[in-house]
Amino acid sequence: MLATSDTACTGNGARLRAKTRLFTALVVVSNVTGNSALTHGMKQLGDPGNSPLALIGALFHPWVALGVALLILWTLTHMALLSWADLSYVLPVTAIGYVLTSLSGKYLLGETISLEHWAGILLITSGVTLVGLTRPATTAEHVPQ
Amino acid sequence: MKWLLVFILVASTTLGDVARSRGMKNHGEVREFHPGAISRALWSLARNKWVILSTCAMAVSFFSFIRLVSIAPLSFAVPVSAATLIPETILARLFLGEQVDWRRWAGAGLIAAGVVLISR
Repeated sequence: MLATSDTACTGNGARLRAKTRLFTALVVVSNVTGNSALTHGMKQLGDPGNSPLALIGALFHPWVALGVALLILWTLTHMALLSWADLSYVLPVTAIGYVLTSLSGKYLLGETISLEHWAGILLITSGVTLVGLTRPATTAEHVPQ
Repeated sequence: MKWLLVFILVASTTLGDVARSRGMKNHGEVREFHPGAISRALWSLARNKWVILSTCAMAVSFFSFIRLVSIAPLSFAVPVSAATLIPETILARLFLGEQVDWRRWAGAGLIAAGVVLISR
């Protein structure tokens, strides 16, 4: 998925590419599972209204708490990935999460996927593959503050 | 209410991602992942103004997301969050100085179109 066609395979390029693949996978999995756990919990609780206290109270629901823990992992791995990879690279390649969310809806919740939906999955996967062919980092490592 | 939440979600996520990317580029590549190195990095990031701005924006994004999923299906809430793809790619080019070649533009376009299809 994230193979390259245009980078010289220097030791550093190969190292960065392997690290990018690993962190992309971690970012995607923590985001998809975190969002699913969070949604499951919020559905069980029902509409909390606009009160900030009710929203904070929701954090103590077990599924919501699991979702929050996974999203903290997402935050940390996403920040690490962005420390060396471009935003215009990270954002599209992690969009493969939309496909995983769709497919998990089908296989875990027994939802049906329409033809239109499959076409969407195909478009997203093509887009992710295309961006995955680009070099993950195109800016100098240190931007002056 | 639903579309107001969508607007707040998209705006705060865009700001959060762009500021996070700027802050992390300033910080430089995270190379070590043992607990000591992670705590040092977190301590340094906690004083990075871009990361602080990003964290505030992400908190707004997070609460608008959980509010949205409580009133709309996940199959609506997750795909609309993909509307950030286009403004973020533009800002990555203009504000972060990334080289966005045709493959990245085409990829972002294909993904946005695909997300519209899967959210119908």
